[in-house]
Amino acid sequence: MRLIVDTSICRGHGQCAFVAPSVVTMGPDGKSRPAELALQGEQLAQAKDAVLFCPESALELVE
Amino acid sequence: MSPAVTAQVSELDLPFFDVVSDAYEADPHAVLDGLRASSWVVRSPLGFSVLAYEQAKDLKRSNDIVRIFDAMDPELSPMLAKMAEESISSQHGPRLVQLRRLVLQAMRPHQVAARERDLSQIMHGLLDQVEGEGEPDLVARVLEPYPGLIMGPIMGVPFAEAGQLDRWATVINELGNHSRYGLRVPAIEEAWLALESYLTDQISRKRAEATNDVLGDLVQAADADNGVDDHDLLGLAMSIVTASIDNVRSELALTFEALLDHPDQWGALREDPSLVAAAVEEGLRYVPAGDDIQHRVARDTELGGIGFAQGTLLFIVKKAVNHDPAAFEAPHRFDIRREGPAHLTFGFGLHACVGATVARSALSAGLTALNQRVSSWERLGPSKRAPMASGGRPLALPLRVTVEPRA
Repeated sequence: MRLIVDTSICRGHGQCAFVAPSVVTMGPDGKSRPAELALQGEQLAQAKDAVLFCPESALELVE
Repeated sequence: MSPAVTAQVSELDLPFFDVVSDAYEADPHAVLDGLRASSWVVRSPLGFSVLAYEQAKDLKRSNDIVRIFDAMDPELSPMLAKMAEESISSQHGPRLVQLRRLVLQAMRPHQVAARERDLSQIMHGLLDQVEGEGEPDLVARVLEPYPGLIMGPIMGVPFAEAGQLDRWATVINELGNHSRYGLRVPAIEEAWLALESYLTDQISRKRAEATNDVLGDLVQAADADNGVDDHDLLGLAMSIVTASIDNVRSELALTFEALLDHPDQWGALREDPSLVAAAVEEGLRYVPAGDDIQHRVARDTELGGIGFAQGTLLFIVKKAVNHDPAAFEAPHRFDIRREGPAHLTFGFGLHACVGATVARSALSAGLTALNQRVSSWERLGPSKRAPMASGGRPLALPLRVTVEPRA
């Protein structure tokens, strides 16, 4: 599984980087920047939280 | 890199924002535009108020300034002060994440969307009761009852009890009226305890028999999390009920009024109901429910080059930041097709309103039904309003109106 962001929807709340620090950082544009990783274990759990917490529903887990 | 601090806010000669003045009641944007033109931060009765959009977002990004839920004086009411301190709105760090996770698990977008038809039926039912009348009191009979009644399907409580839930929540929300909550402390405490007792009972019922609604899902999420106890669960249920009813009531009436005052936009929505989501967002921007969002400076810090000492109270004035000309083109124009930055009515950042999905759904369902049924109207006079310092929602909308039968 990978975590992807729709940057046209992201507003830079920072919830994802806060709950999934091992997967997401905030880019210089102030928007979410998920690492391009095949996620498993703790990182996958954090990524699921990131999807749940995003106030704009901008994040998605994909195969 | 932060700009150098040039002065402490307390030393600056800043204009004063009088939130209970006649001028603010008569024309809030004239007052706010005048103040904002001289400074993005001004003095206000309990501290300082932020009027500009970008500085409000910077405040929301600061690690040194924390969201607080009402500046309740512990001497006035130890009980309500403790409640405010324990509220999800006052938490931060891992504790905030833990509580938000539970609420969000109970408000997943697809679950919320699945209940929208029930909400719309409630609005249609209220409109049925005024159908054919020439001058019904739409505020008292349709707009005011709706946010309480929808607690039935949303929270999964008996429909017949939703009105009582509404009355308790409405009294509790007088906490937000800074100018006079002191006088109302005994009534607010009584309503708080009654609502706690009611929700405790409902939580037991959800445990005995699992249900598919926000409270049922919240109970299941809490029971699956070893880090939260029954006190936390009850606190979240209290927050959901008290934060949703009054805010939806205000926002629905304010947005409905804005749409009626812009008949072209009401007509555009009738022609293309898919515009409702955009109409809801523009309503939230143009006429936000509630007046301000409260914060306390947790440790000495700076914002926009100004120093703020620990303990300072800082308020984001929603009406002001949503109408900042530096962020919004022609900010005082109501335009449901507007593009551009998002409003700050739901806050921003780690404390962004956790119930926004439910609020948007409630507003969309309600406005769509109203838009389908109210085909023509004439204003008979100006609206009577709540004080601007508590959001200025219409309490009476004098209208001659045609409410059509259901399609």
